[in-house]
Amino acid sequence: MTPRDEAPLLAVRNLLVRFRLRQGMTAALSKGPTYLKAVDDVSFDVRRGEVLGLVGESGSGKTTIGKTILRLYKPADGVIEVNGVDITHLGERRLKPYRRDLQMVFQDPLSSLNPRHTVRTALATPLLLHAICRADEVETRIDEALSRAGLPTNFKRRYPHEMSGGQLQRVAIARALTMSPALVVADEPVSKLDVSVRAQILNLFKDLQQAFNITIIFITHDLRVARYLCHRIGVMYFGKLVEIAPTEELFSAPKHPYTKALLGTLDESAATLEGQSAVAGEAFNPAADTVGCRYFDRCPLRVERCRAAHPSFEDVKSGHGVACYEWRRS
Amino acid sequence: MSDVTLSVRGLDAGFSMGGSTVMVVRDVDLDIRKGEMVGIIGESGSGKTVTGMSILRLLPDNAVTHAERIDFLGTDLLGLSAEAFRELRGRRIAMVFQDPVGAFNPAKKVEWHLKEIFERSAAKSPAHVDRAKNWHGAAIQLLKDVGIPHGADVMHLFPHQLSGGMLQRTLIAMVLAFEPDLIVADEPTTNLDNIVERQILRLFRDLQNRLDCAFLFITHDMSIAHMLCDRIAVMYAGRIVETGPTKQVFADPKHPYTQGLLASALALDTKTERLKEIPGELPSPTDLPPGCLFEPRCDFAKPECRAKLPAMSDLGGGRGVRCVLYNHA
Amino acid sequence: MAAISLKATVFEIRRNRVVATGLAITVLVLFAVTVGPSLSPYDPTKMDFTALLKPPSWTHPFGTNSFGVDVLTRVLYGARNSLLISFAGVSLGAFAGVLLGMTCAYIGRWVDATAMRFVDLLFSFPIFVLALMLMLILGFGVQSVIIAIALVYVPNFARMARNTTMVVKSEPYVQAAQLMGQSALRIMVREILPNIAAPLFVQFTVGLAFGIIIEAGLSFLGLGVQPPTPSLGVMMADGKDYFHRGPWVLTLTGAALTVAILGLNLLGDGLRDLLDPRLRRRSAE
Repeated sequence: MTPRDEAPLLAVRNLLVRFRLRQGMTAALSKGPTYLKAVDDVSFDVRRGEVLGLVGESGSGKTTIGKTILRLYKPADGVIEVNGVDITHLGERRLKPYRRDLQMVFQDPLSSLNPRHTVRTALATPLLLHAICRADEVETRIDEALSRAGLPTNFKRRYPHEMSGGQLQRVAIARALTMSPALVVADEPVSKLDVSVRAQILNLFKDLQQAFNITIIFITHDLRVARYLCHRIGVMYFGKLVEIAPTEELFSAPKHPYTKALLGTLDESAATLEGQSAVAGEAFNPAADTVGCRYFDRCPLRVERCRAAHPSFEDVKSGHGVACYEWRRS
Repeated sequence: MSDVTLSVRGLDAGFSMGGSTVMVVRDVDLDIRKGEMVGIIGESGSGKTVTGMSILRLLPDNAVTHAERIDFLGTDLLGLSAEAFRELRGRRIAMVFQDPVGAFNPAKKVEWHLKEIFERSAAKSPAHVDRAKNWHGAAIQLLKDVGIPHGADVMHLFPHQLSGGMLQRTLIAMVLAFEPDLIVADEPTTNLDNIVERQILRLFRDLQNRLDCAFLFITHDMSIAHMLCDRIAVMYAGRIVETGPTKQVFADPKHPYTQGLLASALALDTKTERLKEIPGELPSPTDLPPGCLFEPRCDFAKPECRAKLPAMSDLGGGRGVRCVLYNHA
Repeated sequence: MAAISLKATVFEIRRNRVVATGLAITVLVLFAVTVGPSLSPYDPTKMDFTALLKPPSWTHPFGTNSFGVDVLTRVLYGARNSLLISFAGVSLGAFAGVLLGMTCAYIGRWVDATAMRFVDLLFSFPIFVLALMLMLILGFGVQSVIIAIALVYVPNFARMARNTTMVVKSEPYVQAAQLMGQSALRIMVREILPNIAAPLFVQFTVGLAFGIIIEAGLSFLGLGVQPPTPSLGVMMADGKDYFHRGPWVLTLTGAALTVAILGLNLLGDGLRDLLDPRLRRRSAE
């Protein structure tokens, strides 16, 4: 399914991203940590032509990872390598040639397009900026990009507010693809779309991925969507990657108790509602400076040592990793 | 049918903008019986929220609403003055919205909110007077019932100190104390994470079993409606296109739109190679198709579909569908 | 952030009486100061000792002043000068302020912190005191008035541009531009500026009104435009001396000033309501 024995397109090593919670005087005067670790010691590879899903709830750091890989955020520590080149600390000027290779499709399609620009402007800008084609070819390229994304070419003249969510997301996808990027980070690209339009966009991703062999990091909170599109899935919980495995393996043999809990929500039959524990297991507070496993408070497998330190990643088998001391008991 | 708590006939609602009026809800009929949970399912712009808000008279000033009849426990709601309506709503109807923060006074602690509800409902019966006197114990018990074991601690917190899930739980405890005859919930779990969402959905079900009240649940999520509701009404572009008992509708959807929705929403539950799409986009309320609203996107569209909007056909067993394919009568 | 269609805007303007009134007055004033002077048979500086301090009449609707010059003609020329000075000053202030504010918001960190404390400092002076101080440093004359008005407005525009840029900067479409590899300058001009222009435009309109007041005040004190060149401030200072013998000079000039400022203020206030999505009526969706 995916090519092996090949250097990864993207390698992320021990990535740490922090956000400042308090600034200046407030930071000096108040107790508690000044930073929130949005992404904490995360490592993974993405192979060429692969679709990697990053799944987690809001606040799990999945979007932050995506934006940090694209260097929209500065990591506090760790390494990001694209094609073996370390881009972690490149300045904006030296980063520019790599920008073209790393594109993003955002969650909210309306705000990902400038409200004052027409579709034509949105699509022409990257073509001209990177001199991807001659000036007299721009129109043809735009038409091509639009029809590839399933839109009629007369959409060129439209402004964002004149289009529906699904159409906007198609334009955003077309824009990302005009640069023929090596890697696309898709950040919850269907979560704001209507149910009847969602399938269209998911199918568009699938078709374009297969047609152009694009490498995608697909960020979603919905395991079912991840299963539909992804070759491998990584599960995140409050800044930590807790499990990563090929899609079918994750669904058939999950190891981390959190992955199991997430999979448990997939059963749609009414009976599962009865089995739900109604007691609120308080979620981990990311602003508190806890050293132990972040899933501790909700975990059915917890033992004393889980309190002492967050478990490091172990291989269940090749290609399937889990961060849990007790995974063998599960 | 004396057990019908809420009965709506011919509800239209819209907004006047720029000198013209745009109707976003048309000809909605709805019955909710005591102890029944009815789901309105629709995508954005389908009019599901406006339907709920117009029954509760919670729409902004530029809204236009009319109906043949809105009956609530034998009272004609259309005939009530604004004041009388507010009074009735305050005693008998509870609302749960997507964002629970709005239901709380940010300057008051959780205990103040619960106490107020106990005191307000004291007028209902002598038993309620007793309960209001011992409100503190009753409140802690209710919080325990909604899965907050440390109720005594939570009572001393301000709303902003609670997470979204905890707030929604507290709000459910307040609804339990309030004992309404009708609950209207509009996407109450959309902002919550999957696991917490499941827990809250379960609480809604327990809540309704316990209060035995009428419950209107508005959602865009087919699977939630599937799990919770006794009956559903599917809305498209401002009209109900299909209605019936949840199990039957899910097992055998009649309207092509319902079929498409189910196919694209539930196909993901199992491993699929390709999702079935509904082509096209939702129509804009200012530019509706002339005949059947779903005709431009429908696989089964015939010339007659474009001619006029099909009427609701009664399929028996409480099922109805607005589509020419079933227009035998 | 939804863009507003022209048709909807025209409708809103017609419905919103404040904007309509402000716009009508402003258009009238602009017409008067552009076309008006050429229609007048009189010269704004030529003295006529046969007609000193004549009260308003058909030949001199606003009367004449102590040098026998037609007051209406001087008001038209004076208002034109006042408006031009104010426009130049506010434009300069807007340009510098927006540049400063956007740069601060975009770069952030210590640049932002330092520049914004300086802006706070400027803000803490009463506007007129600040203008007076600047005049003492810069010396008298038209150029100095323009620079004074500009400096008074730099903090206003800087703060507004900074705050709105901060909001727009985190919008996904700006991040998308960054991902395309657009330079910071290009992103600021092409992506951010068009989206923060509306509130700045409102500020500009209101600023124009206060710029006229500052000009009039400084010229009234003799620090700005020097007589015999007409400006509303110069004329009011002039009219003040002869108030008992010819009250029309001061009152009618003052009235003209008031009308111009009222028009601009109404227009600015109305536009603020019109362009602020939070104040617009909620539309159905």
